[in-house]
Amino acid sequence: MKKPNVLILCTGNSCRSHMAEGILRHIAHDLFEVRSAGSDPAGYVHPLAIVALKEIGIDISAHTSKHLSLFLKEQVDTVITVCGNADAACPAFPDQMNRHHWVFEDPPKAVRPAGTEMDAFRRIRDEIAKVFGAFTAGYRQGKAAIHS
Amino acid sequence: MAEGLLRQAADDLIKVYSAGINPVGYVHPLAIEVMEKIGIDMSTHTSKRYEKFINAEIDIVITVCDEAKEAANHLFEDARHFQWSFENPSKVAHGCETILDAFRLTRGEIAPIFQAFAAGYTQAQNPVAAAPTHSEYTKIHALPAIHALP
Repeated sequence: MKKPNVLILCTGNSCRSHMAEGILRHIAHDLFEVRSAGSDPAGYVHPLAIVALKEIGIDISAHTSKHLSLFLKEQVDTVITVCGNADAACPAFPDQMNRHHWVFEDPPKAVRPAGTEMDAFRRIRDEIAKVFGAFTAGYRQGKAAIHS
Repeated sequence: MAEGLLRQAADDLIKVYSAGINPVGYVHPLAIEVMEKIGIDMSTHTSKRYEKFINAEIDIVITVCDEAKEAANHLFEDARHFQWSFENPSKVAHGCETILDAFRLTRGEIAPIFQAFAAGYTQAQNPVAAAPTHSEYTKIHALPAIHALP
């Protein structure tokens, strides 16, 4: 059976959606086809997002920053928005069956007084990993329950 | 708090219970209070020992603190185990000004994880009709607003 398509959206398709794409593909490549896009793409993947994922063994250096209109003609089964802006700007996808909205701060704007920008990327990477890890765990359990 | 959130998020798909390794015997009033603010009624919850569920054919064990993980490793051997640790808001104020703020912060940390688990579970069971988790999540987890919540 064809794997469901998951499209992860944020505004810039530069930080959060790429970290989420890399993490979800890493933990659930057997379950989903994972892509990401933005409603107003920055045109580049933030270098610190690449570093933050490299630290946990995930390579997103080949990712590109893309506009969500690229995916409008495809079947998208699940849309996951990872920031407030994209939720407002995101059009309804024709074959979209599921939609989840999980809010994360934008790392460059989430630097704490005593911390560095890299700390913010690491913190939000870890939040994303927990939430997408829980989604994947739930999905696997739900699937297993059907067959048991 | 996790029990209340997961029960609400997973609807009728998952039967949710909670227990402690060393239960204090009461549900913290501030836990009840902060969950009531987001529409989850925990007033009937009780504080119970895990032994109560040993023969209950538990499928999934989720531990929410490190101490419980240690103990649960040797229990419920037929179940799948997941571990998401959160600080105890009644003991750790997280740098918050009040214990109530610490409870709000913990609620904001627990909510997305358990809602995401429920979203995945629901979607796997029923890929066409999975409910959007969107509005509740925004309400609970929008980080800048977490202290602005009641």
